[in-house]
Amino acid sequence: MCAVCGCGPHASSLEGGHVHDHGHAHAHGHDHAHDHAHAHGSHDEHEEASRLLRLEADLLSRNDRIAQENRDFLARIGSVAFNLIGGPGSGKTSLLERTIRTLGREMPIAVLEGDQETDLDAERIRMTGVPVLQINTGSGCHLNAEMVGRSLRRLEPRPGSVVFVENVGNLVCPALFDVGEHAKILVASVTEGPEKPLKYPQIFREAHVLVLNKTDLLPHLDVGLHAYVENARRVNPDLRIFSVSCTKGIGLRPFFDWIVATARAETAAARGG
Amino acid sequence: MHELALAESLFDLVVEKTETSKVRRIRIEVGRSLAVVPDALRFCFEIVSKGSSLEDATLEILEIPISGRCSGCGWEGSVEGSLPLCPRCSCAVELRSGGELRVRDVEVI
Repeated sequence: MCAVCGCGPHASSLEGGHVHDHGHAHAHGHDHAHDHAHAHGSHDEHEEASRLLRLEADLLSRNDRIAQENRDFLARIGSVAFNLIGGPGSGKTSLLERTIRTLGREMPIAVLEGDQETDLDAERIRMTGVPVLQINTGSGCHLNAEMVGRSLRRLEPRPGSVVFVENVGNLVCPALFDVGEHAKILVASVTEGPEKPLKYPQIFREAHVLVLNKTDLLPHLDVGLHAYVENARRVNPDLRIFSVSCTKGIGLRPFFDWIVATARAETAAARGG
Repeated sequence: MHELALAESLFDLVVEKTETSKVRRIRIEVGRSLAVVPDALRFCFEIVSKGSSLEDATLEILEIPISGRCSGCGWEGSVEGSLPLCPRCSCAVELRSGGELRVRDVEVI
């Protein structure tokens, strides 16, 4: 029996008396919404109709394309972006506050704050006096290029700005999503344990810089700094590592110098290009 | 944990390429270094594609083993598991394979 109108295999009319001509030899398309659980003859015609599309496309190609547009947008206004990644509570916002208070007088800084909920971090950054926008991802566990692109255009950073994009606290997903940054800065704290680089190798491999925070707490821990550094270098030999304490303000100068030097080199390259 | 994000990206990409065509099968290559759990990715994709032209598509995941050259001692070969570390000296292995995240092909009706 046909599931469309209830007619038998050779019937040409229904009890209601309407005449219809949809015998079952025809291909009765799939414009109507019915599943294929019923038996309406052979599915051979569908088998023949299917075709293979070779895509050979990078799964994240759309995100990567938008990330490049963000980079181009920043280059046009002589600005650069750093993507701040790391686990929740590693000290990303504290590092930002310190950085802004020290470098804010030397160069224009703007901030995009990513969190699942609340604008608490944006509020902290606002206190420092720099332009900031909060992006709430809701159920999303990372920022993607589209969210950052939209927010960047709303933020309208001054020409020559350094834009810090603070990602959602997460050691997994942000590793995969380029948001248009010039470098990924990974913030990890020594209290998270020295095995983190081995447990989350992808994010340590993707990072250009590791800021190892909370070194003031080392005396209370069983392992020394070398264990963290060694494991981080095992998964990423090119990683540039800064050991700091954001709360005590220790060891930050070399990191600030790196930010200034990288930003100047990038904006000079953008102007030259 | 990143499976949902990947499922969403996969969905967007395939819909962009196939438009309204009904998709029967999707074949993707995933390198082991990304530590993607195939069952979790399939589960997320099922949720993401519900009610769309991709709803009935079978997701075939080809896992690509890690291989490459050690940045420390120069050792070359394949590495078991998802951690690209040299089995000889534990240094990072420069990936020749195992970092893939690609849609190979799709079968549309």
